[in-house]
Amino acid sequence: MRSSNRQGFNAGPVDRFMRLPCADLFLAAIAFGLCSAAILSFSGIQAHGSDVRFVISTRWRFIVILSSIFAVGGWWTARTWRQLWRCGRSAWERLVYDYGVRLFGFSTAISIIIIVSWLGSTADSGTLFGPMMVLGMLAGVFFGVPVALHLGYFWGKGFAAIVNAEHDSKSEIGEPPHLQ
Amino acid sequence: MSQQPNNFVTAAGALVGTTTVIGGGAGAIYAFGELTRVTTTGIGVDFGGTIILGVGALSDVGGMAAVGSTVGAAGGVVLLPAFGVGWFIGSHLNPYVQPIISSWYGY
Repeated sequence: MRSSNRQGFNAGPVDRFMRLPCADLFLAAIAFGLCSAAILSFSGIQAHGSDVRFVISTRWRFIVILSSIFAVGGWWTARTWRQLWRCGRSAWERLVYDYGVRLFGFSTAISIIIIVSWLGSTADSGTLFGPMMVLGMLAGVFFGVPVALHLGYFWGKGFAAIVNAEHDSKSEIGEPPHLQ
Repeated sequence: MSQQPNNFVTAAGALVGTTTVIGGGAGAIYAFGELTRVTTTGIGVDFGGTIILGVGALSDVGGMAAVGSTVGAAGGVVLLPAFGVGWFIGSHLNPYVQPIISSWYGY
């Protein structure tokens, strides 16, 4: 049998993080924190503790509502990664997971982050790391990545149907394994 | 603001173009990695060293790249509505959200 994780990206450190028991909650908290920090940063308030505390205490609903949307994206990203970042055991699984998710899907995810960031920068009149660029980047990471990984999964399934990749009932028992 | 629709069309085109190219590349890599014999542009060498004359069948690298890019292009097109909704929300909320955030300065 071929080495099943030979093709596609490994993204070892990211994969190890995503497989932590509470990675979905961690990533949701990270997304929430990054979005909140971006909002506060672009408000122009001074970084003095009293200013930040006052704004948070008076505008916390606004910050929480916007940041919660990104927290859901972070949670979804971790769940999707853990579900799809696998290595195949049969010809069909290799095509779907190795070539589909970990090659096509991951490459598409990187592309989406770049494209959305660029689109955000155009809304900021070409300014680098302006508000829309940063929020676009966060949207690319926390919404674009899971969408792209699912797209990779369906790319692999579509490709497998066209080239008639075969299932192997002897090796395809249970969920495909995670990368070693 | 008038440039934004044009920028969106450019970004949407880049998205579909990217999934098409990545799909083609992944299809070609699949052919090299999984098939027992590869041919390119109608002529090639199998893994035993024999020169073969291909006929452009689906079992060659070009055929797999074509399948991959077709499926990739279809995937990119499927993504466009979600991409458009995200862009619409972002571009239409920003003029309202930005003044609110900016008003915090010097509260």
